[in-house]
This record gives sequence, C-alpha cells and structure tokens, in this order.
Amino acid sequence: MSDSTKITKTESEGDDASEDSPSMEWTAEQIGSALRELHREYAPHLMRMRVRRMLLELADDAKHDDRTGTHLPKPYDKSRLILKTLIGDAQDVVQNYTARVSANEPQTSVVPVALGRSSVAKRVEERAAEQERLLMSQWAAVHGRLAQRQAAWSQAWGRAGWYLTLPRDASWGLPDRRYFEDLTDDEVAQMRERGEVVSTSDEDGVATLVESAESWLERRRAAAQARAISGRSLFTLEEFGPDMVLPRYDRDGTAARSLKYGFVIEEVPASDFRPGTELAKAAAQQAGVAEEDVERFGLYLGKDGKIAGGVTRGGEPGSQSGVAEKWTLARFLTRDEVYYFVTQNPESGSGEIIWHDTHGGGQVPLIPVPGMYTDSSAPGAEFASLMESVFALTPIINQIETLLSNVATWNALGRFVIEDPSGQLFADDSGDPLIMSTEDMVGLDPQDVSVVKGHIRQLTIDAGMLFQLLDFYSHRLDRSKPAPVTEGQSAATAAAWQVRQLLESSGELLEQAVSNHAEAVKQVQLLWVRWMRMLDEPIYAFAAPGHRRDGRSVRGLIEFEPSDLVESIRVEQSSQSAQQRVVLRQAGIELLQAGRIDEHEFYEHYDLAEDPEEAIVRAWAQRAVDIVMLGNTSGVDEDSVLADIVNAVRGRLTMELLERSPNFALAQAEGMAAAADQAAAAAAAGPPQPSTSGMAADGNVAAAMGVREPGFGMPLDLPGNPLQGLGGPPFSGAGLGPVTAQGGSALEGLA
Amino acid sequence: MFTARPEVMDRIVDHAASEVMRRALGVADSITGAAGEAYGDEPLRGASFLAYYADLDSRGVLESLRVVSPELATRLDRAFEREVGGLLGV
Repeated sequence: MSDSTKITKTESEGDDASEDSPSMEWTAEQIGSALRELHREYAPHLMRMRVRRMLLELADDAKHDDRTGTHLPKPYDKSRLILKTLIGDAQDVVQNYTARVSANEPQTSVVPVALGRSSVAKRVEERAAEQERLLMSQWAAVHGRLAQRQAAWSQAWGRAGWYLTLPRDASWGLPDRRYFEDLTDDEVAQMRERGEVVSTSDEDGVATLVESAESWLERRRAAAQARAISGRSLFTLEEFGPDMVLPRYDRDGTAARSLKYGFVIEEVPASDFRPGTELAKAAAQQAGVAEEDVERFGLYLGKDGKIAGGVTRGGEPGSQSGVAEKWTLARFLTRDEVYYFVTQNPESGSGEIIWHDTHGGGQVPLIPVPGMYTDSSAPGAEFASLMESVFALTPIINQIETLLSNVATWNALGRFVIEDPSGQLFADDSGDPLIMSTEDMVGLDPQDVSVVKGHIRQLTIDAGMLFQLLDFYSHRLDRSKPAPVTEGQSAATAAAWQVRQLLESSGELLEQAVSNHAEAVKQVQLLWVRWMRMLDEPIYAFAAPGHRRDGRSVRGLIEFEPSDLVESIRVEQSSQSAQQRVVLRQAGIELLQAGRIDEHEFYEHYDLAEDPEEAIVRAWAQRAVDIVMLGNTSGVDEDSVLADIVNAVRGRLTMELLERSPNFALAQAEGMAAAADQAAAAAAAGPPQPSTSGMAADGNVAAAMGVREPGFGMPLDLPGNPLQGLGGPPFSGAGLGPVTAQGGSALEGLA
Repeated sequence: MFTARPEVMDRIVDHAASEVMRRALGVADSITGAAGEAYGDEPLRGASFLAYYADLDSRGVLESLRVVSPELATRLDRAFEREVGGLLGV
C-alpha cells in the first residue's frame, strides 16, 4: 500500500489490531461476488476501453489484435514485408481535447449566507473568503492541477475519468494522547505542575497517568501547524481512467446518478504481496496476526486457485508463490467504508480483504468526471467521450492502410503469367496456368536473357477501390476531429469576429466536459468540508500560490475553525481557451474604442477579469504611474480628471518623501527660500501699483507690504521632480559643497 | 469612457500612489543610507556644522524647512544647540 493511500487508526497503540478494526459490513465473499457481477456487466465496456487504449498507445500488442484494424488474411499474415499500420490521429485528438478541457483551473467560491445584521454578514463574508483560500490550498496540496489534466485525458478518450479522494489518514497525522507508565514521583510532580498530566482510571479501576487535555490539544495544534508548514495535505486525490473503475448506482429520484458502491481495480504484481511488503503487512494486521509474525506474513495462491494468507517465507507445496503473475487489487468503496480486496481473478468471486476502515464521508468518495452524460443506464454507456466517432473510424482506416500495404507488397514482387497471342494462358505440364514467380522470374538475373514464347503479363491487385475507401473514411475522420481553427489554422487571414465565431462553435462541444469537471471538484471539496468538520481543532493551511503582484507578497498561514465551514460552495471553470481569449479581447478593444461598451463591460465580458472594478482601477492607476514616473503628459489635458489624479499622486509622494528623506526636504526648503527671495526682490524693485480696491496688483498684499514668510505667495504644490536631491551629493543645492568634505551629511548623528 | 466617481478616484489615487511610492522609494532607499546619506558621506560636526546651519538660516532655508518638514528642522536646531554647547564647553 502506498503512503498516499495509507489510513492509520487513531487508537491502535498497544492493542490487537483486529480488535480495533471497525466492524465490517461486507464480507470477503460478498465483496468478491459484487466484483464478479460488476466485472461481467462491464466486460464489453472494458474490452472497448482496451481497444481504445491500444489505438491510443500504438503499442506492439495493438498489431496483434484484429480489433484495431490490423487483420491480415492467410496466407498474407506470414509476410514480413506487409506493414500493419496504426494511424496516430486518435492520439492527436486526445491531446487537443485534453489541452482545451483543462485549459483553466477550477475556481471555488463560497456563497456567504447570513440572515442577521450587517456586522454578522461582514464576518460571514470574511469567513467565506478564508474557506475559499483553504479549499484552494488543499486543491494545490493534492496536486489538483495534475489530477485535472489526467481527468481531462480520460474525458477525452474514455468517456469518464474518476476522482477518488480520502482523508490522508484517519488521525490527520496528529499525535495521539500519551499514557505514562514508567515515570518517577518527581517527574510526575513536575509534569503535574506544568499541567501536562492527570490521573485517570481504566475500565478495571486501575489508576493510570494520562496526558492532560490541554497539553494534548496544544501538541495537536503544533503538529497541525507543522504539517501545514511542511505542505502536507489533509487529503489524497487520485485520478483513475474509465477502465479502472466499476461503479454501481442507486436510484435516488434525481437525474444525478448516486453511487451505491464502487471498485477501483488495479493489476499489481503478485510479488507485492510477499512477506515484508506493505500490502502483506496490512493484510497481516487485518487478519490479527501477532506483531512478531507480521513481517513473515504473506499472501499466496493456494492449490485451489484462491488467494490465502499465512506466515510463510517459502512456497508451500503446490502453491504458485513466486510465479511471475499479476493479481488484482480492488479498492472497494461504500458510503462509509473502504476495503482493500485482493483477488487472482475478478471473475472468480474469491479473494481476501487485506485492509478495512471507515471513512465517514457519507457518500462513496468516487466522483465521476464524464466527458458527456448520456440517457443510458447500460454499464459503460452512462457516459460518452468527445471522440466516439474518431475511435469508430480509426480501425477502419488502419485496416485499409494495412491492406494497401499488402497490395503494395504484392504488386512490388513480380508474379507473371504468359499468354499466347489469343489470350490463352500457357499451362504447365499438369495443365495448370504457368505462373512465373520469384525463383524463375523472367529478367530476375540481368546476366540472362530469357526468351519466352507469348506475352508476359504481371499479376497485380487493383488498389483503386481501396484508395477511394481511404479517401472517403479519411474525409469523415477529418470531420470528426476538432476544427482546424482550434489549432491556429485559418486564424491569420480571417477577421477577429469570424475566428471568434469558429472558435465559439468548436468550443461548445467542450462546454459540458468543462462544467462536469467543475461539478466533480465541487463534490470532492464537499467531501473535504465534511471530513474537516469532524476535526476538533483549527485547521491550518497556507494559501495556494497564485498570481503575486510583487516579490514581497507572502503566502499567509490560514487558521480556520472547522465548525465555521459551510457546504454552500460553488466551483466554476472557464471553458475559454487561450486562443479564444485573445480573439475575445481583441473584439472587446474594438468595441471599447468605438464607444459601444463601457470599461466595466469590457473587463467583465471581454477581458474576463475576475474583478472588473479592480481591473479598471488598476488600468487607470497605471496611466497615472507612467505619467508620474516618466513625466510624459502627452494626451493628458490639464483640466482632466487624470491630471487631478496625477497631482494627487505627486502630492502624496512629496509628503512621503518629506517624511523619509532629509535631503529631499532640504532641497524643497531651498527652493521655497529661493522663491521667497525672488518675490521679495521683485517687491523691493518698485512700489506696488496703486489699486482702487486697496489690494496689490498681483493680489499679494503680504509681498507688497514687504512681509517675507515661507510659503506665502508661492505655489501651493511642490513642482519638479519629487526625487530631486536624492542620491546626489548632499546639500548640493545649497552651494555648500566644500563644507561637506567627502560629501558629508549634516544629518548623521542628529538626535 | 471613464466615470469619475469619487470612491473610484480615491482607489485609483491610492493604487497609483502606492505603486509610485513602491518604485520611487525603492530606488531612493537603495541609493541612500539609513540617515539619508549618499555613498561616501560623512557627518558634519563642530564648526563645519555651525557654518552650514548659519548658512541655512541666513538664506531662509530653515524657515521654509519648518513649514515643509518641522521634524527635520527641530532635529537641526537641536544639533545646533548641541554643537554650540560642545564648543562652549557647557
């Protein structure tokens, strides 16, 4: 059993494992019987999937299976010249669909629900945001993106992928409560003083020392934090292809198919069950084998062909242990339990339960990710893939091309008959038509000149019909593939709206596959929420890495009370491909420039910004930043709102610099003093003009009166480069260069 | 095209100001020391500082500084008093 799927029990220390194991609702016989039934029901589906895999993987075994379209009739099958042809078109199409279906990651949003005052609503909203971050961090921790790509691959070729999710372990990796036996009185006294230990009595009334609840909770909190810091996920998430899952559905009165139970079947080498292996040890614990014998316990195939377990290292007489063979490891999942069941043959109905536990999710933790839903309940036909017709046509084309290879081989090798002038064939001694073939073929040896009576005619196969068929089916296959526009073809010459139309129509096919995946992720996360609500202490996680605006952004540690988790979540996934987005944005820019839409509509519907308002603010802010940083005001009217924004930004920057930079403050003061001097000099140059209103001509009464006060009569803002004076020689503006030998700063050492 | 709602303007100014400050002050901080000195600077002390202070005062720079950065002006005043006290031995 791999570490990722291992579930440990919370209170197993020191006890017999079999006694701890929760009672099983299913016996090995019942599970074996259910597996056999499902295996038979799904046999045609599994066979179809096997053929599809061969067509996809183009492996050598595909050339030996007539169902792939590589059949050669006798005696041609003996020829080593004929090429059994497998076209790779199915692989190309799978890659195309997979890339498009998994182009965007699912986004979880928690719908806040509050029926009280606004302050309550605000808190609920904050918690909702935290839960979103928590769920997305768990999605990242289980490598959800990789699982999504695998599911998209399954959706594309195999009708459905399947997610299996479980808690990483039943105790969540948190420490168990400690029981103390060998402590001295002094140690007990010290621990009591620290509140770490309390006395209790067991069922027999014997007093024992146990870790205090506070100490235990504190250790669990610390362990939970450490687990979050190390990036360990709370759950496992695995993806399985359509030929690895056998589901059994319930009727629940809705269109949704509710799983009653399901198997995940994997072929594993029988050697994985030899003594000392993880699977054998799990089986030993399940069987209640004494601890000292666990390492020696193994599973083997008995005389009767059934898998049996025993403490053994060598093969028992008549056993087939050690034979290179594969067994089937079936994970059997019900609404409340998980079983690990191993069998030599799923059709046999026999096998061994090697591990069992409850998961407590309340539903089968197997979630289908269909390409498309159908209205059929037939096993394997519940879902359809995006490539049904591709797989129908591929074997036909393989067969035609294989036969064409046969034709080419036949025609390339000389086989001749000889006709007399009347068109009759020459016969050999037995009266049969004389056929000249490889060994005695006319003209084979260039040294010889053969004289043949009559007319030599080569025997050839007319391949005209095969070429017509190939053309016909290839044309149909092309129509079954994704439109060329999805691969960038025809986009260079067409108008944006035309390309968009083509892309949209080709994208409609993917709409369901994409939303089915979002729904599956929602089901997975609902299970996570239910499991997390079982915890009795805060959940810790780091926010998922996302688009960080700058290098100083940090991933915060999320602390969440399980009781605050809600199940009102929504998962959305965009079906827009990168190509579609480019075209869509271009169309939006044209509409925006034409004044047909406003910025909000552009960012929401054409730029697909997550927060259109924020996008508008950031775009305008960027214009202001460019102007302030570069000083380029071309195209900006002085009376415009943008000019006001720029002034406000400059003002804030100036204020900030005055606070932070002494040199800047001094440079500004120098400028102000110089301006005041100039104003005073101008005032002293001549008397103010008489004014009938009693005011100075320039309105500056103070200057006219000879009053010299800093800032008076000067502009209200501080023009010029806000960074003036920074980084240069200190006080250079004051003409004090020589005073500051070595460029000395007057400001160092100031109190 | 642009709706000049006050709250939107405020957000734009906030955002632009924080961006500008992050960049501009980042540059400034990277080329100046903790006390605002440039590379190679030495503090002015004693008579040099007094001459510098007197020059600032005579040209009205200190008065202007009290308007734009009263804290810095106060620090210069205190430094002046300390240096004078040091010279006079009080």
